[in-house]
Amino acid sequence: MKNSIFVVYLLLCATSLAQSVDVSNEKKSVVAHKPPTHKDIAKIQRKQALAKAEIRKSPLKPIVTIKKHSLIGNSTLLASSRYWTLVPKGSVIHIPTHLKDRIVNKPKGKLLNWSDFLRKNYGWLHVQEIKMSQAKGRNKINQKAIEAYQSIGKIVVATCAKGPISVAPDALKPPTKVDIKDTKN
Amino acid sequence: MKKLLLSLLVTTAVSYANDGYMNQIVQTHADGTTHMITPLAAAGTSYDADGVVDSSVFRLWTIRLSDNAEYLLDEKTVSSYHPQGIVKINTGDPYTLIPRTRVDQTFSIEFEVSGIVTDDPSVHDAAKSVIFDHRTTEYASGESEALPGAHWDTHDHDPIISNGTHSFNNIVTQIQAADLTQARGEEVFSIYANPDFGVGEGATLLDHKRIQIWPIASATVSGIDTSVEYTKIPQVNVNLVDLYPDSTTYIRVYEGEPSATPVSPLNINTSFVIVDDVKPVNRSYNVTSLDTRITEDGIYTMEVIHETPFGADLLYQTYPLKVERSIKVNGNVNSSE
Repeated sequence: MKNSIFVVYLLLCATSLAQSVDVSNEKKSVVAHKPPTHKDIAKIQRKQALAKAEIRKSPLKPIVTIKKHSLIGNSTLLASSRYWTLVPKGSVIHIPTHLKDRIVNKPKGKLLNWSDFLRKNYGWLHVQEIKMSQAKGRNKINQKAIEAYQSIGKIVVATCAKGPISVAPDALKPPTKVDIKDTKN
Repeated sequence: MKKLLLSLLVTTAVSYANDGYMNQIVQTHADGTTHMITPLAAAGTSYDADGVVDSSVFRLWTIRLSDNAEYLLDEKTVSSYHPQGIVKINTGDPYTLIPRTRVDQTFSIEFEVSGIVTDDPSVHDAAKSVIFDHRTTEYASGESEALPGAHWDTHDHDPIISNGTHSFNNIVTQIQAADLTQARGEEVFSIYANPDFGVGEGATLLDHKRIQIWPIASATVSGIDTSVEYTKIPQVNVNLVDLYPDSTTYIRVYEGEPSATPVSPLNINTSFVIVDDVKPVNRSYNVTSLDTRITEDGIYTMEVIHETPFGADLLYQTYPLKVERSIKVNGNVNSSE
């Protein structure tokens, strides 16, 4: 947040030569008014509410439901000993058993953005860059890559253009084997 | 398919571009696919890697590092086939990052709507209107943002059924408080497309703007006794509360009774407080130079003036400040002879 810029001028004036009030500091008189009171403001509010009530003939009824969103609530939280970051739910596509405790429910330590967190935790994080069509489940992620996750022993996060992205479950399923004989029939 | 310029969202982040916050843009596609756009510079422009198919909602979030409180700073929906809405707020304060004003000052809202179907009765009802929504929240004492879980009041939630520019002029805040002069909070004005306009689930935010409402400043000055004739004017203590984020406050003194247009007022240089901030500030300090600045005997009025973009306020006034430095001798002169 922007820091306050606060200046108190400390200009000590030599007044021994000044006659009566310090004329060197004279300037055009500012016309100042007493600020309004609670009663004054409430009166304007009431007037405004009455005008609005005349325009709106029917009582206020919400038409659409506006959903409250939460970034942290809709994310998976990853934590190391000192830092944490967040990625979309569904973007963590492999979690080895020994790294389950790296997925946490509450922030822990200092928040880092994904890029910085990845740089500090390459030892246990692996990135799987995918295409948007794969994220949406229109195309499958290569099964050999998915099988390889088992042996690297790292948490795998899907990214698209370097940004973590959720993956439709269909993209991770093996392709359906088509029985040639059946299709012929 | 529509390529999207992200500059609008990213520039909003400038106000939160410091070490105390982390910004994040999240793109949510109509099918629910969620993509975090990274890395995110404090300002700049980038294109969506894959273009927007159907529609996407882009949300700019910031998380305060000290307590992990999250704030939704901006939200934009991009779609090739639903209506568009733009909200503008005009206040008497030229500050642009977040529109702001004071609790007693009027402001204006203007919203432009296009894409509502007005000439085809057979079209789905959802296409015939958008929703104008107006909510307010009062900040907790001393806060400059709504805390997570803060209570919001809905003041407007009405359909707009015609395209074009609509406006509310000279309105005052609808924030309610036990003492409105001390109220602080924000109002959010939004335009939503109806839920079944074809974009994801729930209502789709087309645009929104928020305005921050700040309290009226107050001042007290202690150290002057109006019943005393001073041969030496004492030090005074000045206590200023909720100075407007763009303001200049100072003590002025002039000879004679209180007047709206005093002649030759003396502004006390050592009393000046100039504020250029994003929230109201409090200041307390001593002024010792009154005695050296007021050099002529007389009866004075002393005031605290608070200048803001809305004009000048008289926060404090005391009269009389009596200065009498000449020596009076009472007695008779007798000859010793």
